[in-house]
Amino acid sequence: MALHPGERKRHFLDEAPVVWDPIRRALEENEDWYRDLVEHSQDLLCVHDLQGRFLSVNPVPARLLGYSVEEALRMRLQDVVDPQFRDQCDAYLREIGRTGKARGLMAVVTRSGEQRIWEYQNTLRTAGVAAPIVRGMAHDVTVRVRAQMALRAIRAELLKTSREQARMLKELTLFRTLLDKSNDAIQVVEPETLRFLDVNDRTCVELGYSREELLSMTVYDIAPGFDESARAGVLRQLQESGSAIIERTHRRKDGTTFPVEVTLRRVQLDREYGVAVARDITARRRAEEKLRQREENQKLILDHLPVGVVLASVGEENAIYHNPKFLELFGYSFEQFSNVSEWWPLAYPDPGYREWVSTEWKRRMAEAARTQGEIEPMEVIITCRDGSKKYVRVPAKVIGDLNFISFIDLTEQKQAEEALRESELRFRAVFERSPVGIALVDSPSGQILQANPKFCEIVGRSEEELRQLDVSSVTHPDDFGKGSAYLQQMAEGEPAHFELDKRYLRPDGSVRWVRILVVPMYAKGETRRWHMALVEDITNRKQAEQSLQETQVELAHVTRVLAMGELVTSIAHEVNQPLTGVVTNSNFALRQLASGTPNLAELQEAIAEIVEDARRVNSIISRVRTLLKKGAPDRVALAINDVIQDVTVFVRNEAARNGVQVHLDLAAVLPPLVGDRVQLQQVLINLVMNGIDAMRTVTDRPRKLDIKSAKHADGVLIQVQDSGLGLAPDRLESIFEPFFTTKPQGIGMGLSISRSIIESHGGRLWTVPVANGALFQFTLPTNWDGVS
Amino acid sequence: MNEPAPIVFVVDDDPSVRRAIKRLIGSVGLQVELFGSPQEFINRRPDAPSCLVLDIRLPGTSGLDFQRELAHSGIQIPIIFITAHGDIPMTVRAMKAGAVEFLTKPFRDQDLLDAIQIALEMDRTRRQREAEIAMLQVRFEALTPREREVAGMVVSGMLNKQIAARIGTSENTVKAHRSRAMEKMEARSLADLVRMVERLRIPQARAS
Repeated sequence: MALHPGERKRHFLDEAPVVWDPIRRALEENEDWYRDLVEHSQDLLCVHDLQGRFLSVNPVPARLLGYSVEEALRMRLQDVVDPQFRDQCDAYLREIGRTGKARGLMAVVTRSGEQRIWEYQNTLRTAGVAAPIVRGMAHDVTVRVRAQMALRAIRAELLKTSREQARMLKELTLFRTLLDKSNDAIQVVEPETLRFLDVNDRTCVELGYSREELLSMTVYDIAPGFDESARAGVLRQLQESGSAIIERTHRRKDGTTFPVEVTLRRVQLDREYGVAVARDITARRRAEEKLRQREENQKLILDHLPVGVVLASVGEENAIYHNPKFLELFGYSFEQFSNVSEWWPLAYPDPGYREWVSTEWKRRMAEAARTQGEIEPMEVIITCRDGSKKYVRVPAKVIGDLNFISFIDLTEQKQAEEALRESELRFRAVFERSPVGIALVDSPSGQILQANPKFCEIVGRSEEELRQLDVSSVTHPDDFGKGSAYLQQMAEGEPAHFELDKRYLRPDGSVRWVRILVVPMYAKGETRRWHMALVEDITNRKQAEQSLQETQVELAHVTRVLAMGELVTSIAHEVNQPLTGVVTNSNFALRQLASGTPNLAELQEAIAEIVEDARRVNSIISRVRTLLKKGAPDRVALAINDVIQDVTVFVRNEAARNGVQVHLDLAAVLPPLVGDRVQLQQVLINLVMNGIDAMRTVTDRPRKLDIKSAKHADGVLIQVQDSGLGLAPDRLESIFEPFFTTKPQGIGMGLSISRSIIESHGGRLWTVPVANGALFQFTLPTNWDGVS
Repeated sequence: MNEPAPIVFVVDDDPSVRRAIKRLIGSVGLQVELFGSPQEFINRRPDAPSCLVLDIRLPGTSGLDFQRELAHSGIQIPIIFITAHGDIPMTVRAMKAGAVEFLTKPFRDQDLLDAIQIALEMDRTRRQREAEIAMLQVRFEALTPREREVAGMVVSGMLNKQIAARIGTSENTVKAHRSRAMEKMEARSLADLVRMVERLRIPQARAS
């Protein structure tokens, strides 16, 4: 219901009689109030039809829209609605026409073009009207709606901000994690004090400190050696380039250190921060060190190679490197030459030879290039700087665009080969022309491998023949056993070095005596075992020895007889002693028998002693007879102490006569010997008599003769020592020569014969210098086999 | 006279010879002691007539050397040498040094026994003489110095008067000394005293 204040409708009261005045008044008054209410209402009160035509409208809102009531009544709803919302307006009209009510917001535009929002709540009136009309009530909610909209916008903004913040937080966390997990230790420091403001996990792990600990520390605490001057350097770098990369050492909590590369940067945020990214470069350092070492080693290898090395460009115009050995070998340094070709005329001064080397070298290089193979090494003679010549082998290899040329010095080897060849020739000549027979023998089988002409001559066979034979085939059958122990030893692989005399039987039946020296030509454990037999023909010597030995036996006898002559007094004394016993006891017996009351017990004793003494006499006589007997040596098992005792008996009186005390010191146990008793007695008598003679002029000290027997490495050792005048040092050996004597009545054969007797027993007789007197000693072997 | 039984010492290095000799000597009733070397014997000092049968060839020292050694030590024992092979120089040396006999082995039994008898007799005489001198010595010790002086002068042939003048006393006093000395020395006569003093070898005063 839109009331227009300017229009006065005909009202039924206007036409009512006066009588109706009070009522009328009352009605008018009432109507005035309502009118006043409508006209002053701030809300829009209007009536419009379903087409939107305003039927009535109150003045205030019309003014709000910039229109008068009259103007408004000529307008339609659609005219004031914001053209953008026209569709909404049409929808409203349709809705209210259909449902009878509608509420909502509507954007309208004032005459000045300002948009305002009205909230409406309209109903449709169909009763009492010809055509349906709409009761419209609306009020301006522009301010409210605008506030709401602003509020909404703010909320959306807030939401957005908070989401953004959440995202940022997430990103920050992620970033922090990334930092912590970084392989680099990252530190944020206070630029002035270098105090740690933040560190990542890596820093803690690397340095072994907790984060809290580090945050109370400064860079100086972890970087020994990083001082103010180092810091100044860093600051300079920072000023120049904005960042600095330095290498320094960090120290862990446990005191160990490690090298780091630190990238430093200044970051300006709310304030200035120092950011340090430290990277542990231990591994890198190690790798660098290894690389350096390897390079050094390679250099070292090249420098110390026992062969000369030259690295040249492939065309060989330039030598890039030569090692010290090259200089040492030839005396040339490539620094002297601008071009390798300058070196050639010096190294190969002979043009012909140089040409040959050059051609051959190029050919081989070409050949290697063609076959993609190795360069065939050349052997050339290089003239050194000092003019000497060296025989060199030159292997080369092309590596990339470098030619790696080695020079191996073969000079000494060549010289040695030459010397060896000459030596071989010489030795061959020695072998061929040796006056001693030489046979090379396979030790296990005895097979003759090689024999020289002299050997062939001795055995009476050709070398070809001998190569088919073994050693035993040329040996006299009687001598098969000789040296068998040694041969057995050699057959078992143990080298044996020995010498023996034996006989060879020639094909013509004749016999040659030889002395063989066997020299093993292998060491223990070697599989190839052979020996060298040096064979000397001693047949003539053997024959001479034979006759000499016969003469010696004769001489020995003569000497013995002479010695016995000297001993006559002694022997007489020895015989007289028991004889005295015999005579005296016999006299006693006769007296007893004559007395008529003989003491039979005593008589028996006396006669028993007579018998015993007679036996003594007999044994002495037979000993003397043995010594005087002439005959070939007779080898029997004997105890040397018994022989010494025998001799003591013979010489006892002689010793006493000369005031000599004979002292025996005989070993209780001695190995038995095989020998000739008479000959050994003779030796001992000789030594003892010499000793007694030597003491004849001694008056200032006791005349003592010591005879000693003892075990010895060779068997037994017998010593005879006197306290006489001793031997002149220049006569120690000549005394053993035949016919050497210092005695007026001596024939000078005693020691000579004694020595030959001992040597024929496989022993040795010699004299040893002593302080007072002379010491003669001889050995006798226990395992002596009697072969001489 | 109650004289101890004589002993024969035998030194020979041959036991058989030693035993035979002991048997022989024992058979004539003499006491025999055997030694294998001079060293064993040297400390034996018998208080009886004795003699030594000594082999010349001995271990260590010779019999001749031992003889000399005994003489040096003042041991006077008659020695009979026996040797298996003696020569003249050896015999001469032994005899010169006072040996009783020098017998060559094998010796005649009677020769040894005779030599032993002689040796024992010699030793017996020597012992008697030594005993007498010892007795005289004891008596002489009993004299006063003046008695000895007077006795010495008497023996030298001085008259009592001469003695009195020499020592500045009376003749009677000299007589008294003389008779007391004679009495103490048990001298029966002046000649007896002279002999006694001579044996003691007392230096006599010169007569004039």
